[in-house]
Parts: sequence; C-alpha cells; structure tokens
Amino acid sequence: MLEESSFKNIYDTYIDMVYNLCLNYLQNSSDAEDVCQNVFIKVHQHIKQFEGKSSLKTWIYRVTINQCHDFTKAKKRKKRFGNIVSLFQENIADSTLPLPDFNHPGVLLEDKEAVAAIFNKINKLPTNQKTAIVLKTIEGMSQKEIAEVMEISTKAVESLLSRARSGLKKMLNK
Amino acid sequence: MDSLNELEVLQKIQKVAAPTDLYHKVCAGIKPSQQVSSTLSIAASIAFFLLAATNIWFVSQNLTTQQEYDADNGYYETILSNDSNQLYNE
Repeated sequence: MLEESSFKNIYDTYIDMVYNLCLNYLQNSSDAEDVCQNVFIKVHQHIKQFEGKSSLKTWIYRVTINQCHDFTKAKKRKKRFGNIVSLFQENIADSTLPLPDFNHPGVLLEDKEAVAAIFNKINKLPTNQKTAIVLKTIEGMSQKEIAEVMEISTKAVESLLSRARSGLKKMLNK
Repeated sequence: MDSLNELEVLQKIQKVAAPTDLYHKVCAGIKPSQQVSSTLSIAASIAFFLLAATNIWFVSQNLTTQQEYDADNGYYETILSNDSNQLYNE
C-alpha cells in the first residue's frame, strides 16, 4: 500500500486536474465529486501496478476517463431501469430519476445556455469521439497527448476528432 | 481538419478548484474497504482453523457418523460412533 504522505502529495498535485476533467465529462459538480473520490481510491489501490510506461499524469488521466465511462454507464442503466418501472406503474412519474442536470461551476452565467446545448450534443457522440473532443477542445491537449491517454495512435485520434466534428455538425444543422 | 465555431464557447470554460473536503471523503472511502477485507480474512482464518481442528479430533477419536433408523420416532438418526468400540461389540 501507498504511504499516506506520498498519497497526499499525488492527491494535492492532481486533484484539480481530475476534478475539472470530471466536470467537463459529466457536467455536474456532485457527480464529478463522486467520480473524483473513486479515481483516487483506484489510484491508491493500483499505484503499485503503475509500470511507469507513461507519465503518472497520463495514467491518472486514463483512470479518470475510465471512471467517468463507468459512472455514465451505471447512470444510463439506472435511467433505463427507471423508464421500465414507469411503464408498469402509472403514478411513478415523480419518483423516476431526473434527467442529468447541467451544473458546471466553471461555466460563466452568460455562456451557460450555449455550453449546455453543445454538451447535450457532445454527450450523444460515441464514447471515444466524446473523449477525444473533450480532451482536445476543453482540456487543450495535443493529439500526441490524447493518443497516450487513450492508448491509440495519433492517426486514430485525428480520425476520431474529425468524425466527432462532422457528427456534431450534423446534429447542429438538424 | 474541419473547424466548428460552436465549439469555441467551450474554450471559455474556466478551471475551478476542487472542494476542500474531498480528501477526507477519499480517505473515508479507502479505510472501510481495507477494514472489511482484513476482518474477512481474519474470519476466514478462524473458520479454517476450527474446521481443521474438528477434523483432526474426529480422526484421533476414530469417530465416524452413521445413520440408524429410529423405529419409535420413525426417522433416520445420524449418530456419532467410534469404530474401535463397534469392532469390540461385534
């Protein structure tokens, strides 16, 4: 197990990076906090398996994205179950899970509507395309850095970004 | 590569600091799982030890189990018997 002081150092260095990536991926501060907690628990449990093939930052980025995927999948599953239950019970409309509410503290009030609308479209993209566009556009990462995080080639990143942009264009023109 | 003007608004998103109490939540999330796993491993060790001790005692006493029909009550009864005594009685 990791010593507490070393873990605190890792936590202090990367917490803001992880929290902001979670916010940009999930667009909800409460969900971002939950996932952050899971990310650092995973880091604590699996730091010994970190082989140093990539930088610690890249590895933590990867863990964060995987945790965001798992969280999103679990949330969708819950929502689907809620929908199925509501089919059998007429008066359950109030108790079903609400739609994911947009609550991103980093978005300026005047941009909130526009950002929420574009995130709504980004969330409909396939997972890999969403990850690439979030890392490129919001996190400002280079294609090489994205390739390292996603463990794919830079060519594949370029293709994902291109497909994501044309997908978004189609959705915006509808 | 295609550019998309609508994405420019995303570049205005500001970085925010994580909540200060998050570290305590992370620590709270780490400790219970470790406690549960250590409690489970202690419980498993005790159960294994008791099972092994019982088995050794059974073998040392030459004890076996056998079923005998209890005519008065109308059911089979599992009884512990000692092999050496049984041989002696026979």
